[in-house]
Amino acid sequence: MASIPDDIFFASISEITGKLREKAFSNVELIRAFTARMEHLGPRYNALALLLPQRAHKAAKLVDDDLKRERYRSNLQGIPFGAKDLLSVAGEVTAWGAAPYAGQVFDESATVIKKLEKAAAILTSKLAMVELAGGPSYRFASASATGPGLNPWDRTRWSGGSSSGSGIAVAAGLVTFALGSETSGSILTPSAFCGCTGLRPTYGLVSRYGAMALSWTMDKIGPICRSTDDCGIVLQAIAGADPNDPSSAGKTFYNAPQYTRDIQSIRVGFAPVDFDEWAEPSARPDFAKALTLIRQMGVQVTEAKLPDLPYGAMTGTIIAAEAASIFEPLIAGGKVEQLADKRQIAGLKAGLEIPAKDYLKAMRIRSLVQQAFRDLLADTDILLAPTRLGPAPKISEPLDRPASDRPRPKDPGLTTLIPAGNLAGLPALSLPCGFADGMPIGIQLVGRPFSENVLLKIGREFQNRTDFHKRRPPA
Amino acid sequence: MLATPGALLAQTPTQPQTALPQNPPQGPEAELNAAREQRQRNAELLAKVALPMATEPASYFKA
Repeated sequence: MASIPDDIFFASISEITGKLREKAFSNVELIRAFTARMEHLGPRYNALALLLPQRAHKAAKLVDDDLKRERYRSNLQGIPFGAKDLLSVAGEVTAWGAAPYAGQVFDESATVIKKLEKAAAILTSKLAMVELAGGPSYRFASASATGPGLNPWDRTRWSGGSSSGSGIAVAAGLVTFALGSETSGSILTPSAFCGCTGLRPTYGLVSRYGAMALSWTMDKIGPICRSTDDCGIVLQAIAGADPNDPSSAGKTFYNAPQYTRDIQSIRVGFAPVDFDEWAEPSARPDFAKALTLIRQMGVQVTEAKLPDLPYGAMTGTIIAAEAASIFEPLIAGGKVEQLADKRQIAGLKAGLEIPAKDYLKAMRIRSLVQQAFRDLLADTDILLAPTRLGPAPKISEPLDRPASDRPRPKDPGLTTLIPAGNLAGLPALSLPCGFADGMPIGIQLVGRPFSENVLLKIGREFQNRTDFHKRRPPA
Repeated sequence: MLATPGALLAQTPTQPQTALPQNPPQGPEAELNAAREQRQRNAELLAKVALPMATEPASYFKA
């Protein structure tokens, strides 16, 4: 039996595809190695919700049969992946990271799972997450039935959430790629904190069918990978119209950043105050270098500003109201008390008390947000900002308190880009761009609806010039 | 990433811009009251935004 070199656990989709087709090892051998690694290391980081070795082995045997006959089904054929445990897998437990749903089983897989399995990618595991995807909010990293996500770079620090297991699994080489979800920050944050590349697609591009809903109007499913190239490959496989998803935009995505606009014609807007004052001091040097590198790519760089709207209050109201409606049986029946995080329990209960007028006001202001972005992005193609202002916090720190006593700049810059971009349904790409205090940090690029290829183009060029996406956490 | 004052942000909590009590609420009743106060703060912030009457919500029903 061929042994799988360690490098394979951190290899790209294309590299592994090449090795499989040249028969360096069989798919069964590959998947056996990845599942063993996940079984051994996943619990070390609280990354694992459920291992699926039999399912994975069975699928790998089929791939080997195909490869023997040179039946090449897709460029994801035989590639091991993990799925955030809010995505249903037929016949397997899908617990949503929450004690009240332990043992929950659906009889149909989520559309994105079906699409990836049809492409012959190999689902090896369900990945840990913050309970109920963190809605409406939570105080501690331990807000999960599987415990706090532990960062592979430093296990005393948080992995980020709510797609905690997805970020961990990719960073630690436990899967080649993972599926996460984002309502407001949950793909971008673990990507930044774990040193991964995460892509939040345009709202409606990827079907939500079979995914736990936290907020019908804000949830998106997307890839967390080791590179922009891999994000593009995965997004092409999972995107597309789905009649089962009423929010489906009815659009497909063809991974073709090389055919999109010339880099020199792309206009990037940023706020200097984000990099100079908002960013934590330990992160500023590498953020500054990332900004310089973006300029050196030849894009047109200008300053940008978001209109002064209450983005946080809007996301707070919309998500809390929608989540409370979705989980009303949980709340009314009392099982909400079984959740791990006290703030989350209280937030769900209070969400049931949000008057319709407040929800509708938030949704009406949301129309202004969309128009504001249409105006802003008429003259700018991409907005650039730090994904998070510093590295991952310590596990024990409350997540809703200021991390430092530094005076806050008056100019908000683009610090509200995550809630604002999610309210407008815009796509975003988080790229690892350096380190602070020995921990990864990331920058985010946000574009117009359905402009994922433009984001990937910039991301690919950035990763051609850097190697942060190839770095590995300490063994 | 910082929220506008007093905001609750799902999935990835933010660090608020305004000063908040340093100690988390003690006990479920206090937590619920804190969540209600946050809801009220959000409502007050939303109320400050002047909206043209013709502005419709950012979602539509289709028959």
